[in-house]
Amino acid sequence: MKDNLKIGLFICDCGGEIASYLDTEALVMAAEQLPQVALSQRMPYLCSRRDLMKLQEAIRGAGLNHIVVAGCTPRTHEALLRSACREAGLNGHLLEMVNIREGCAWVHSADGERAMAKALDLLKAGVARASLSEPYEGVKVQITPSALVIGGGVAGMTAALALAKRGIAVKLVEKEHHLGGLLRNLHALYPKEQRASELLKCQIEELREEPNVEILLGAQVSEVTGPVGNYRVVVTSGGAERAFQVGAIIVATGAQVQKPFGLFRYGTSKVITQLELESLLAKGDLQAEQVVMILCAGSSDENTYPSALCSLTALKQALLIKRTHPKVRLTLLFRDLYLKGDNPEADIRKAKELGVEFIQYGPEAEPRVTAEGVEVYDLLTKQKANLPYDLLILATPLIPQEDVTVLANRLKIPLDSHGFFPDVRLRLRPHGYIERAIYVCGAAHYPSDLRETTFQALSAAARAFNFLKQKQIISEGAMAAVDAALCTGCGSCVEICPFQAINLRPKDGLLSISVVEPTLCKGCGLCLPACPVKAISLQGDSDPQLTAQIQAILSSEESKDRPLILGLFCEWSAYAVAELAGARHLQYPPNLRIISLRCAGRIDPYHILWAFLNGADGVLIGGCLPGKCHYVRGNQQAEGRVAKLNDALAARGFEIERVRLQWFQPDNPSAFVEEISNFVAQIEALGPRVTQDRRSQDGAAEKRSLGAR
Amino acid sequence: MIHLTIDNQEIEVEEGTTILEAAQEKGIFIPTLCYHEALEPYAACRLCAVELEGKRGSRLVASCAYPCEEGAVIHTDSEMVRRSRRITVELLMASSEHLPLVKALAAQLGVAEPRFRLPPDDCILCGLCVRACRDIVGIAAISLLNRGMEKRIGPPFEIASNACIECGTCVLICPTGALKLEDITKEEKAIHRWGSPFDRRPCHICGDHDLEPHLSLGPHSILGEQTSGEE
Repeated sequence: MKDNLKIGLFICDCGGEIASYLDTEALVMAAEQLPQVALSQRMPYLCSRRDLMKLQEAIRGAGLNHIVVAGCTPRTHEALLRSACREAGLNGHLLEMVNIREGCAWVHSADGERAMAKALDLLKAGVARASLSEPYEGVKVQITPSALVIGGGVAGMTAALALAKRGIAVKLVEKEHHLGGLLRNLHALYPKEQRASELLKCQIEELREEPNVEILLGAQVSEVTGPVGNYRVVVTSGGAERAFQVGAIIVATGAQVQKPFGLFRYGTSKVITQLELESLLAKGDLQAEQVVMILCAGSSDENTYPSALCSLTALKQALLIKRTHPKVRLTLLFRDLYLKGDNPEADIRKAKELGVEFIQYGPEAEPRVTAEGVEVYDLLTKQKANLPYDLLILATPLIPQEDVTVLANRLKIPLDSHGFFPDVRLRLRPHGYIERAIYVCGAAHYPSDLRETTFQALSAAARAFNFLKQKQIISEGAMAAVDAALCTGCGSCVEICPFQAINLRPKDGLLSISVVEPTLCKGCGLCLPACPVKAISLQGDSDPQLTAQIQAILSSEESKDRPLILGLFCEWSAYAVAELAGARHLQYPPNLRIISLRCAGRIDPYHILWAFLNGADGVLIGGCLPGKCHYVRGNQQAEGRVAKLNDALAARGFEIERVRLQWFQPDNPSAFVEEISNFVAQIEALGPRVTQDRRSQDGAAEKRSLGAR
Repeated sequence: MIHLTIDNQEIEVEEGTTILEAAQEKGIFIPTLCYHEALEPYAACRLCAVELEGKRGSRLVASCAYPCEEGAVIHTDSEMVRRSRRITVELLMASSEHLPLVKALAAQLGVAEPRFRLPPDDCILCGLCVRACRDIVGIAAISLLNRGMEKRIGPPFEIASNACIECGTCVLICPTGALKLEDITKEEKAIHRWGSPFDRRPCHICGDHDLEPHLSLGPHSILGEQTSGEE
């Protein structure tokens, strides 16, 4: 315990909402007895202007250096109280909130006496936690006000231009020796049949004249390191390396057209892809009388990205061919027509008026191509048709570039199952972490047409600009740090971190140690239990705090509340729904003492054992439903660890029914109450874990042995 | 400091204090619905209306948003106020009579039967969820959609929200339990039906391409026409 600790405890009546269920005066008196508490005070309406001012006066006047507020939910009121503390000159992280409203008063309104005992336990836990809290300023990042755009296709060029026009210095990296990407191969654009080459020419010219843009052709990004907001990028071109710093990265690497080798006689002279037809059309070199188009060619498997692109292209090309060569007999074979845009039906009607034949085939019978013709089973007429052709056009899907995985690894961003870069939206509070500032647009994102690509590029540029213009960002969230003296460099944490925030760095030439990149850390604490030597600590939510909290919350001396159950709840699901049950005034047994955690994956088996050593009769761990973890795989981690612990406990003859891991839906309070009642009943049936006497004797011995750890 | 009278009590408050805050300090009860301490006043529900005496007669003001003025004379339970609140509650009862919250208010103010009827709805459009998401969480994943009778709460365009972080603050703050997380994040809503009235384009600002649906034209909308033309 720190020497100069002066904890101020404020208990809110909440205008009667708490005071009518709990005797707040008695709580204040009881709290005064706690050794660390310098001031214990009752507040009628803490969130009112007057009481907030009283709180600030108390901080300044009594020289309080830690504040514990017992009242309502931190989810709605923490920001308000934090800013009040800050105004009074106290670091916001020295405020601890104890929810005795939704967490106690409202859920145990029928059992005043036990509710009081529980409220006192909650207060003790809050004080124990607060006494170990440290001031913490958060992570501050100065942003380099420049951007890197990877890919010089239409997406990259549009994004680069948009950023440059807003005054951002942009480096545009293109691996080919010319700009333009896929658009270079296109002839006319849908729906206005504008020439792609003209559009491209304008855009390239504009880009070259833009002083804020530096174009690096024949270049590739070979390395991206450094913190968010100040990425150090190394670009190689022609054997030479160049390094520079950027604040944001836009990925616009595009996609490629799949070449259906081995299918539909592709490779023979009469069979081409849509893209190859484009260059034929551009040259004005179409010499055919019977043209057949096959849509969704070779994309019968579920793995290809469903895209509206081939259908649109086919429709565009059909219209174009029919207009320029009205005598051509054109048949369009499709499985599904995915169309979008302003009025695609009008174009279909137009195509039919021009004489384009549409035939639908089923997924089980793909058209068969021979040297003489295309055999197809018409779904509508239920007849086989044999179509002679002298030009067969295959609409093949856009697939990701070959080297996407390399780039994805360099940028530490995920790929979806198709190999495209998905939109990663973290489900975390925006003030608690720093955004990666890596944005994806165009066909690298998913097969998209020109209009969509342009929109995406503009939006990526807008988002990048919004990030860059901040100049400085501060994240207030908790953050992991590795103690270099303890770390053995085993790499367990590197593997477990869902955000690739931990890296191994060489130390003394031989050893390596883990280093946390603060701008990438989201403070989930998944790495803490993974570390075999406990070298990682979490600033703002430390392990000693958690153990002290567990000990204090179970310190109830009343035997009335046996069995005593500890809930270690993820704040996103189990804790959220517990509060919701409170807000709805549902009732559950008061035996349960809840501690809120960032994530269930934060729980170390040691915490569970610690709870039993301190007198818990059961431990309930609450996490998000599978696939719903806000930190990607925290719930899986928790599941694995609890299973392992249970195996170990079972081997020693411990009743493993006392530990339960439960997934909770964050918005279903009645299910929550049912689960809690079930678990309490289960523990009640098992009875107290040990008798009171044995508990104190054994507990002391066990604690001693644990203390040696 | 500002001096005023609320219900014949002389009160002294800091400048900038609202009438509601001043009344709460003195323990004078004013009913509220859309008011929340952690949020800026919204003055939408009009339940907290109080009578403010003026030179040209009394008028009603929303006490949650109206700042205390020097020498103001305020009545929180006059006939004028009660009448206004009765009408407010009666309007609430039109669609939400079944809610315990509304029932309690109706009993308090002595409104037995509303004169108006609307289809039952749990949401009373207090906007707390929308404001909490925007101002407390800092996300703005939900908003008030449409206007007038069509007004309701949901993610923009009623498409599953990509921005929602599923923190549940909106669900927690909802006074009637009308909101569920799946209303905001439910996947099925991401699909636009054919014939939807929206012009579907990706957003210029956020690039939310969920706005751009993949529409499948059934074979009959294409071939049906063709075959009937041939007949």
